[in-house]
Amino acid sequence: MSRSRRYTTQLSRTVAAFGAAVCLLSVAATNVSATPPTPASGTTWSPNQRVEYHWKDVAPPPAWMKAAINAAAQDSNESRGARAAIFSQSDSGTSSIGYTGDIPTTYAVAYTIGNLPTSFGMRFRPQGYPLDWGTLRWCQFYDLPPTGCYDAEMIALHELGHAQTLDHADDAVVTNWTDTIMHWAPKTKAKAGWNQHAFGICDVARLQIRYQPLDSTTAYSTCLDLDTQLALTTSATNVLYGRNATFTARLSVAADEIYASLASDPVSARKVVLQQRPVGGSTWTTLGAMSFLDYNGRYSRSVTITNDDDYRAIFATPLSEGLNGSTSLAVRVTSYDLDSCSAPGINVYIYTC
Amino acid sequence: MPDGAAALRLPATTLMVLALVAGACAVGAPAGSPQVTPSPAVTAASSAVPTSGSTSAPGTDITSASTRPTAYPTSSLSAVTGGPPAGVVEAARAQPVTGHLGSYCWDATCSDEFELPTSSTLPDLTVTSAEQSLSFSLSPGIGFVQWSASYTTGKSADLVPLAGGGAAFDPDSTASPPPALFSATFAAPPKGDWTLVVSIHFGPHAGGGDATYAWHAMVR
Repeated sequence: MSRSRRYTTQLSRTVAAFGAAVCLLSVAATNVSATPPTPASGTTWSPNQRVEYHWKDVAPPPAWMKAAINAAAQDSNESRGARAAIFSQSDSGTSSIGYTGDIPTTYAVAYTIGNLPTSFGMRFRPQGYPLDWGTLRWCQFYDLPPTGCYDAEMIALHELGHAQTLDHADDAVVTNWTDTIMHWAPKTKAKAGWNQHAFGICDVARLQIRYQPLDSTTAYSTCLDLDTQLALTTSATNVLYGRNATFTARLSVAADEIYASLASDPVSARKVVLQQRPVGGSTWTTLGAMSFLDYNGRYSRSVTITNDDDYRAIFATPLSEGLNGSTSLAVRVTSYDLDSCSAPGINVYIYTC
Repeated sequence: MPDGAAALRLPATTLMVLALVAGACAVGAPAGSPQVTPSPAVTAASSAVPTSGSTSAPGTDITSASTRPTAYPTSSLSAVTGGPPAGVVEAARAQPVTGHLGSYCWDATCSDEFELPTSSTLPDLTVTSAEQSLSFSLSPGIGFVQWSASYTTGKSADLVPLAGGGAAFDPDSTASPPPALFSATFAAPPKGDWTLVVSIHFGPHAGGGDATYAWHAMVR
């Protein structure tokens, strides 16, 4: 091989490797899950509706099963990230949970009927029940859970997911198993995900879509990919030299978001920075973070005005939630001094500038 | 021409590699609605209208190809109360076989089997050749919007993807719902004795939901 051809080959490999590296870096830099929000259907509960369940009189679960179900209710309440239903056990609850072989479908391990927004009914097959593929084993029944048992707390959380209106995930488009707890075939011990005790990020995404995040400070699931919009206003556009102008920014989910329930939602307690640039200049300077103002997605910062400058607010794309960054339009503030003002009228100390 | 200048002319193969890498970056970077191709990347046909000449299970009614639904059928949900519709797989020159209904969510009710029944208890589907195509549909002619087919020697944890198609229906999105599908055609599993599984998601006409069906497929 000639020296020229060897050099070309080496350069080609280098270029190809660089291109592959750029590609990998660009993909790795994004924080959005490839798994879509978990499918869902049906009527929802009211926001933060308290839903109480009683143990079905003729088929109460044994103590170990009750504990697992109650733990799952707590898991749902703590991991929902949205104003989905809040579950708790109460003997006077309108919803019911039973432990019985009396289930309409022959091979079902668990069964949930929704009657939203009034109640739900749920049934679990008992420990040791013979099914076509083997004997049903609940891990919580054992002091040393055997391989192949089903974690009752995880299964109960799956059923509570149905009670929250979540359907089964399409496993063909799930890239990480734990992105959702709503698989039609959950794992048994000791396969990865067998004892997941929280909703997956894509379950949370759907709950946030259907029920709204807990409040405007709640992080949006990284299973979402929401655009934001940022608006900036100033208390005055023409300020006496050395006096302050107060800038107020408002951050919200984009108004044209395809999930109408989230469109224009305020986004509070995030990091929004204020930048400044001389009029006619090209370089922006970061003045610092804007302070949280209220739960309507507003932030503020006061600036001492000494020049004619443009200002803008920036919300950088966070790595920890499914929001995309945004930049406000620029706002211009000019300064004036008293020398440039006309004299006030007699007994009236008002300058015209 | 100096050696250095000649070295800067990249071979065609390198340009192709760079083009493929650029294309992979454009497709692979998540943005908006993610597109995930089921593996293996077998091209499968999903017909938005019923296949002409298709047979139906006895007693069922499948819309003929001459009447094309504009979006979704006007058949009432009441025709399939009490649970999801039956799922049927048909091999060439064979009778359609209704599958075992597994886990589903339908009409505010979810039934969770979690594991596949043993193949010997499933409806038998005989496929005379591994080169054959199989066609899945719902009875009585209910549409679906997303589907995936897979097979296993028995356990759900060991499912091997065969093919998939359609698009998810998102009831909470302002995007237009995907078109209804009335059949899905895919390649048969390889020669052997398998459990064949077809999972589908329903569209807005059915109020959403999903279902999984299974057969004992004997591929010769």
